[in-house]
Amino acid sequence: MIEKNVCKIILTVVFVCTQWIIVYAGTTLNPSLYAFGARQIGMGRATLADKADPNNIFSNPASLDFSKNWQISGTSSNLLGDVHQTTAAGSFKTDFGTIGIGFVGLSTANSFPTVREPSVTGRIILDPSSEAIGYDNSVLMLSYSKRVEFHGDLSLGVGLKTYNQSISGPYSSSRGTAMDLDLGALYCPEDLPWLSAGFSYQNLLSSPLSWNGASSANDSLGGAINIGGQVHLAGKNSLLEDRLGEHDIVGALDMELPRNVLSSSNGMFFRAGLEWKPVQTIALRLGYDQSSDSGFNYGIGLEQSQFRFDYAYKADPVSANNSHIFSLSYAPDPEKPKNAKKKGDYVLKILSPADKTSVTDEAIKIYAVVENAHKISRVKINGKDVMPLVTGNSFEAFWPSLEDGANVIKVEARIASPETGSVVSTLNILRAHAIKDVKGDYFAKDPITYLNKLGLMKGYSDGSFKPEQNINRAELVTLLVKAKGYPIAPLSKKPFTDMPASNWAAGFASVAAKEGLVKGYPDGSFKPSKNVSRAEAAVIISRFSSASLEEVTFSPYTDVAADNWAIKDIVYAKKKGMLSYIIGLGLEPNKNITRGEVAYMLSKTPLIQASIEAVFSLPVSKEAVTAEAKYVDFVPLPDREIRTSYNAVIASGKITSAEVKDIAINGKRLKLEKGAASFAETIPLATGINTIEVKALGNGMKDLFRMERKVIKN
Amino acid sequence: MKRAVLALCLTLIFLSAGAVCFAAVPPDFELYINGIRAQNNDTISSTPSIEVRIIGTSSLDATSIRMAYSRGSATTEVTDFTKDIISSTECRIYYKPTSAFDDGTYVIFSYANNFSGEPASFEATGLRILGTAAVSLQGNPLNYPNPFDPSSGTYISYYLTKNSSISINIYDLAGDNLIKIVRSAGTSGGSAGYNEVFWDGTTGSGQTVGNGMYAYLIIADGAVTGKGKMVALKR
Repeated sequence: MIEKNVCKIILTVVFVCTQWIIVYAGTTLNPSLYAFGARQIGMGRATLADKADPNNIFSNPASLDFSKNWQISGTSSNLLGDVHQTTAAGSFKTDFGTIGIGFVGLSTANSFPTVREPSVTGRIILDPSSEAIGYDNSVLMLSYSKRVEFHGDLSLGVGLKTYNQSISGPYSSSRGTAMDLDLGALYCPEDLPWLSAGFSYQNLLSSPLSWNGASSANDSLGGAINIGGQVHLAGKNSLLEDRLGEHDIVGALDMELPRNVLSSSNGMFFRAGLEWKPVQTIALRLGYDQSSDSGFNYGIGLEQSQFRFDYAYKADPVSANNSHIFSLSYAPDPEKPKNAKKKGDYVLKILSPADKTSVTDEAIKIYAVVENAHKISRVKINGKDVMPLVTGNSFEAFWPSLEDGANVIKVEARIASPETGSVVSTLNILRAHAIKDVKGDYFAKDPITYLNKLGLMKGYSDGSFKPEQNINRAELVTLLVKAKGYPIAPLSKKPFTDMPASNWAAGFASVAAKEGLVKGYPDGSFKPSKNVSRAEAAVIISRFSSASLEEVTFSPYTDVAADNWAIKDIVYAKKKGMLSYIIGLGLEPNKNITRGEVAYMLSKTPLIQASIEAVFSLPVSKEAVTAEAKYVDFVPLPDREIRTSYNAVIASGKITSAEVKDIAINGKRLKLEKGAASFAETIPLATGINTIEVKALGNGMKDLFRMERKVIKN
Repeated sequence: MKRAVLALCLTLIFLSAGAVCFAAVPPDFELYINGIRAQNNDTISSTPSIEVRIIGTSSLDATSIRMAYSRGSATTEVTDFTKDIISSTECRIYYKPTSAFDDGTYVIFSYANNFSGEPASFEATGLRILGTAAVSLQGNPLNYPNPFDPSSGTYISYYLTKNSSISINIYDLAGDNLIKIVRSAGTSGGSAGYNEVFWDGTTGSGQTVGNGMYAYLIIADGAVTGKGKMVALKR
């Protein structure tokens, strides 16, 4: 280890020393520092953090890996009237990164040798015996860039440059050559898709331009360190999103620290640029470049059919040095491979666990497949890279961080073949405390867990649920009335002949009968202790669901006749999946139904389904993003609907702050279990305006958060 | 008789040789306008500082020196020039008009003889004064030497039609201004006629330029009047 460090130090010292040992005769022009396209110049050359434009190869080779396909661009400009500069750049995507190639060349001639006039005046005159001198200066660059995952996209790039300068003319023919390296980085944070930051180190080796021929000097080419940022202000994935309609605005700011470059000053420079697209095909640009005399640059771009034409105007205080720069670029859409699929054909299917599964462990194993893909390169869960076990287009991955309560798990798989791209799928998992007599493979485990979580079937004080225990009529109607949220008024007289007003279930039975959930027997009794059969449960629960029953001519079960008194309700229950737990052809309609079966059937009813959905709902209102509660939502009123014919709504939410100790709804404390992250409470609605107030309570019942909604029941 | 003829011939040969060897040579003239040696067809300032250097091989008769100028058919004898006798064989006269000359083409005359009575005259013709028109360059600017060693510098020359404030902007071929050399109107580099300005091969930040071609613009009174390209080559 120590040896390695010593080695590093020695190499560093040697590297630094080489920078000092070289003695330069002078500083010569390094065209790669000025090789930009018209788009970049129009933006004041502040494009260090710009993505995917091939003309950025000289300023930041890392940017090329953001291109979607191969692309080329050519730029032409004329400086000072007769210096022609040509820039060409291209980038080519491969499976292992992006290869870039760039060329910048300028040439001019007609510098005339002179002599002193031989007469007494000694004036400078053309040398009639010599021909004019010409000059060429070019740089060829090859680059490689590749993105790596680092809390977002980080692209790293390297460029190898060869310099070639030549002076041609009598007594002056000479040629200078050099090679050097550029490094670049471009970072796009995952959480801030509208921001990118760039860095580049140009001419890392500080190689001299070595001349031979008429000159044997070593000239400095200089270099620069650049940092910059770009903000996508308006448009898709921008800071302001679509608040400015179709307008697309990009702003950029770069800083350059030149290092021994040919310039009137080697101080730090700033560059700023703005690109505004009022429509997608037209771009207007304005830039400020502190390093040039001109200061402000202007530009326009036209985009059509994968071609882009850019023009930039650099106004110099000296009009003869005004520059007009033209670029033409072509960037075809990525070619679809022969077996390419249409958009949407790549689907990430999570095979296990099933959506809305309830678990007790903190970790789950996810098994998924990307349909139509050949190969998967990377898997992220909730934005974090995981180490999947990949087999072709399927993978297994562990997610070890389930929270108590509802977990919305975003699974993202990056396809490597036949195309590249990402597919996303979401999995809802409820993590709850284990119920001791409900095993993991019990058919109604998830429904029981949800109803328990929603507070509708709480189980017994010993922590059991007794899922195989029969349920009687009194227990069932109590459960249903609570779920509906009907208010229970004290009774003055007994509602049924066999049920005194003091009976614990008398109020529920009375309301259930009044609301049509159950009917008493013709003799005026209710038979509260009578166990409920499967057929009776189907009837009661279909009423609970406000089902529209259809005429039935054929029974789906061998032991239920088509003219059975409950056939319509049984068919409805089967159609809604309430009886899916029954294996075989017989229903055994007269068999007593168990608590577990009731939980299963109820979990398929619209009201309870909506309630379960709400547990995983994303924030839908501004109140939802407060620190105290991740969301508070109302079911079945997920949006801003304020009118309803429902008799009740369920207020459900998720607590994300440790400060929240409890939730109070309309003044009633829920008395949450310690550490409970989710809550749901049924709130009965009266006809007319109902004001629902939800408060998050902290220590000492201090209000941490409050939201209020008015719901009108028709 | 033969002796007499021989003596006569020898005498004639001697006298002829003496005439050849001892005859007085007329003085030379050199004309300087604003300190720059002028030649025919130069453009000069409308308020030129005229200096005529008269250099003889024998003693000059300072009282014989005269000066005049003409424009068209009108000739004006200058009487208020100053005279500076450097030595018995060299004299300089100076004249600066009290008011600006009108635009036109001028001839400057000077006359002197030596004590041997050998007269000589000088005239510089085609001297143009373009004082009222906008400044421009006559011909293309040049630099010498070209190519030049950047550690030794180079001279940039140009002909101005009138006194002007001059800025020589030197650029690399990326169009970046490396240095700006400024001269005031009427001073060396900003005078009508021939000018030379020295550039030491360094940029505004003091760097010596490397091998390559550089462009320059001559900006007179704020307008670009000429441009050229020069080559730096370190030998």
